[in-house]
Amino acid sequence: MTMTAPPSSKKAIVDVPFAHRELVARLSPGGRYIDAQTDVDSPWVPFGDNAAIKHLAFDVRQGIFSNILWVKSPGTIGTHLHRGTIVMVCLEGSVRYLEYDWVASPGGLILEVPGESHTLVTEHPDGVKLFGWMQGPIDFFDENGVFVDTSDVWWFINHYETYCRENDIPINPKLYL
Amino acid sequence: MATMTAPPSGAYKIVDVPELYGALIKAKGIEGTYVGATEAESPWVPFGDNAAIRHLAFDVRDNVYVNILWIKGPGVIGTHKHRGRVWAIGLEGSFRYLEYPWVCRAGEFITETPGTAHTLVTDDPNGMKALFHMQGANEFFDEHGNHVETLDVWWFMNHYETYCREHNIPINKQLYL
Repeated sequence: MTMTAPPSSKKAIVDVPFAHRELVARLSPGGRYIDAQTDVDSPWVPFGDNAAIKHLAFDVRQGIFSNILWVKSPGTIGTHLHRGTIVMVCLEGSVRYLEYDWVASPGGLILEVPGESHTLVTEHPDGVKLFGWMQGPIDFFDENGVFVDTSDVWWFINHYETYCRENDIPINPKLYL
Repeated sequence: MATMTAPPSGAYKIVDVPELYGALIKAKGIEGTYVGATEAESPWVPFGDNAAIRHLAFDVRDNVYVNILWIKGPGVIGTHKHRGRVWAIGLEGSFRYLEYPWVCRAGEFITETPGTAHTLVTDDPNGMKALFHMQGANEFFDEHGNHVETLDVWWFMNHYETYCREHNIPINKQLYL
């Protein structure tokens, strides 16, 4: 026997049996909601002249960082190499990689895996907004293929916190899992 | 492109490596842990009459738990199904799964993947010890295939903490990543 549909549609919190609630209450970091429609939970932090990042979550235990990347008009995020796994959803506009033949449109899912390098391009007049859930470091290179810097969860935290400090924005503890 | 073929330094000293985010890592990073071999640091907690578990790490963000399973003489850990990944290395004696042809002995390594079910057996007169690194849920079934309970990091933490409370052993914070 297996479920073919949700077994309850009752619009009420049902008390489900679970033996370790006290432990969860005491030691779980807890789920949370980070709003993205305004800058209240997290500001747009410039990433070069034509792009910005809205940081959403940092998990230093797994090296995970989540954010929305906004490229504001046609432009390129130069070639970079992933050492972890990336999940992205296109929210607005469109985006592609020079390495592949597809073009991502709103609602579409992009998966990237360790060892692949990409050159991210948007040719949409309004650019692109991309939600990302990323694990592990990303190595960035200049246009001659010379390694420049590795961005990991610490780079992303520093990107967020530096901007907050410079603009008198309080650090939002909700972003830190 | 040239790549390392050996460690580039054999200096018997701590080398100061460049770190832009040292202060951030110090303030918000998580220290590594050390759990020594004594029962004061982590006791053998009975798991039925013929087995015990020595808990080594709990990571509630990733639902990861690490422990040593000790089956003291020939015996069985009944059929269970993994919803996450398992890595294990044999430490003493030997064990096998009824589902597979191999036998894991000291120094040998196995993995188990989400969706697989196993019946763990040791035929060694001295039983077995193995280090398990597990992620996600383990579902345990009775001998008729009825689901009995799903174990995850919270069950393992409760197993450890309950035994410590009952035996006046202080909780070792080094186990909590």
